[in-house]
Amino acid sequence: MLKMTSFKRLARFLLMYLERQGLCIDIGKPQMSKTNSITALLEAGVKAEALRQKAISNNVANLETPGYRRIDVKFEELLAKSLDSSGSVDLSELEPQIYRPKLTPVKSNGNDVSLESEVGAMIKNSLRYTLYIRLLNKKYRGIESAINTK
Amino acid sequence: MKVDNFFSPIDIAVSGLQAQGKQMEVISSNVANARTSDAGQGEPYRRLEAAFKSDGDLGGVELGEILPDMGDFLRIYDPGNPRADGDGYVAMPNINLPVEMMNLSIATRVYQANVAVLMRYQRMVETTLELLR
Repeated sequence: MLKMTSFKRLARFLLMYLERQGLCIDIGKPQMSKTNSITALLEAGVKAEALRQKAISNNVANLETPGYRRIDVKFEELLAKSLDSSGSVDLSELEPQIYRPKLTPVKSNGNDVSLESEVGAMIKNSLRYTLYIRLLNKKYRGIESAINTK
Repeated sequence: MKVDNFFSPIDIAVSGLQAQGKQMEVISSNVANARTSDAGQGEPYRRLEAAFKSDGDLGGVELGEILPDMGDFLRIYDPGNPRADGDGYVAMPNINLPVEMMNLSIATRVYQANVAVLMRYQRMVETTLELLR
């Protein structure tokens, strides 16, 4: 019983983090009941962050490629949208998407990658990744201790 | 630029890095053209200055425009120069190299300061994440 309440608290904590990142998830609404488990949510997050890391390294590799436009991963918006819509959410169907924002100013060689902003994105990405992994770790340890109980 | 999320210190520090990178570009153009006596329109190169702006809110710095410095050109006595006027003077860019080097030092230090903020904030969040161990 004690473990259950701590999971609920963890879920709230994660939601709070997502909300603070501007993902428009209102803690007040009972949206968590729609998703099957916090583990699935965290796994989807980890997957998206891993893909975003790839996108960032691709951008840095193409720092001086003429005509290259930077790529980014769209996931949080899709997650927020599917959590908002009615009906149950199937997280396995929610795939992170690669897209080209084309918002940054283009340099004379037609390239719009800025090393500084890629570094910033990488820091944010790795912090989020660490957060999701730590939460997953905590969840798994809870399951583990539940199994070991006699 | 409007940022108000958990990671806004990172976005703000990155905007500072980008602004100082641009400033560095302007300074290097000024230094490279310190002796360019012809920049088209019959004038020597005019010193450029990067004007930064902010919307007065928590949102980092933005590059406004790169403006020309309307100060007087230097006049150097060089009668052998094909561009010399009747009195033997040549107009040279209004660039003062020591000033440019000083601006270069400032730009470097501000860049370093922004990197320090970035690293410090990263460490701060990592400390928070330690609570989840």
